[in-house]
Amino acid sequence: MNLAARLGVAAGVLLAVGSRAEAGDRLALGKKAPMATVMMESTDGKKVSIAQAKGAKGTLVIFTCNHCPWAKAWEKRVAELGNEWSKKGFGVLAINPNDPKAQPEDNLDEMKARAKTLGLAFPYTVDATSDVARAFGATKTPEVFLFDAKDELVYHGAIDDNAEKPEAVKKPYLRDALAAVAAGQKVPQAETKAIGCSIKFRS
Amino acid sequence: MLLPLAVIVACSACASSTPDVEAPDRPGPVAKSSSVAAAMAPGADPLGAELVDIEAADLRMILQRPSAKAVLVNVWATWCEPCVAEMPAVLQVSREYRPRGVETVLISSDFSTQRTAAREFLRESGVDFTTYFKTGDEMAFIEAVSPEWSGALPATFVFGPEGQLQFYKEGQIGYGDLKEVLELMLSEEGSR
Repeated sequence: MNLAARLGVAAGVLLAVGSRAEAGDRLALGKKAPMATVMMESTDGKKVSIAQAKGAKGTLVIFTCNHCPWAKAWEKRVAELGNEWSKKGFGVLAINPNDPKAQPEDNLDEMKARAKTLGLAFPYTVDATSDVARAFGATKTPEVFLFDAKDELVYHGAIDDNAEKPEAVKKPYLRDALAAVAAGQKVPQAETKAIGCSIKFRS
Repeated sequence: MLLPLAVIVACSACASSTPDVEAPDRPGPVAKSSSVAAAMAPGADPLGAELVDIEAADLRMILQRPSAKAVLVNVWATWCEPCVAEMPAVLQVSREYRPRGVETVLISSDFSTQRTAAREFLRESGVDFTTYFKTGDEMAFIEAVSPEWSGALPATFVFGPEGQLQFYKEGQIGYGDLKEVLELMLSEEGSR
């Protein structure tokens, strides 16, 4: 296998632009959720797909996990936002794409405990092959994908602009996006970025 | 000279945690050598390496090294287990390729509460050059490093002398791959 292939870079691209290793292409705004019918095991003992979790107002998909310090910094906010907006007509789904062989804290038992601690009122599921994450082009946890009532991607990226200090958040990106979608308005800032832990894709 | 050397020797095993080791639940990857670090005079960095706060606006200046053949950038954090695991490889490559014109930029993305842990880790890893600590608007920072970067850690970039992005990887990188990328870059440079 040549250098480019080993590094996960498109052939001939090495000295142009590099790789994001195993992640797929980022899901573009306006696209529908890929692999929406894939059934994923949930912390509530059932199986659920993105299509099943869909809400009348829209669908919120959050790739997150147990172990990543950034996911942990945001997890209470994820729980609060998810619980709040699932009551306002949004379907909400948290997906853990990590390989528990690489991160034992991300196995299903640990996920169940975390779901309970956080009081999640929405499913926290296992992406058993990491293929759902790949299909979304997700690269890290946490990473948010918000779809509107027409199932089109209208927001992608961060929960807000301050992992470390919830009280110092200046831009509550996700909350603003949810409010815009609920009001049938354009999301003010549709693509954002924040630091997170690279996904431990299953091979 | 002996004291810093003792730090490096005592800590040679500290920073190397493998990916299948369970991630530490608490910040800061190293406990054993902190007593050695604590024994040093506070305020004085025996290796002469500063940890400098930077914001997005500072990155242009930091990344542009017209006298360098290439700039190797690694963004890491003490809380990021694969970042800690790959640091020995990043530093080894950095040392080996410095004489060949490769300059290395390390940027910690730790929380402000972890700044001391970041300093300690750098010291224990034997870092003997100035490195950076991210502050300010995070999204602006990510874009300023490279618009290609999603913000995932660890992240490694190689820029050419004019600041053009030549390579990047999100996720843990190994010594062999780093070496091959730099060799390829330097041979391209040499053939121009």
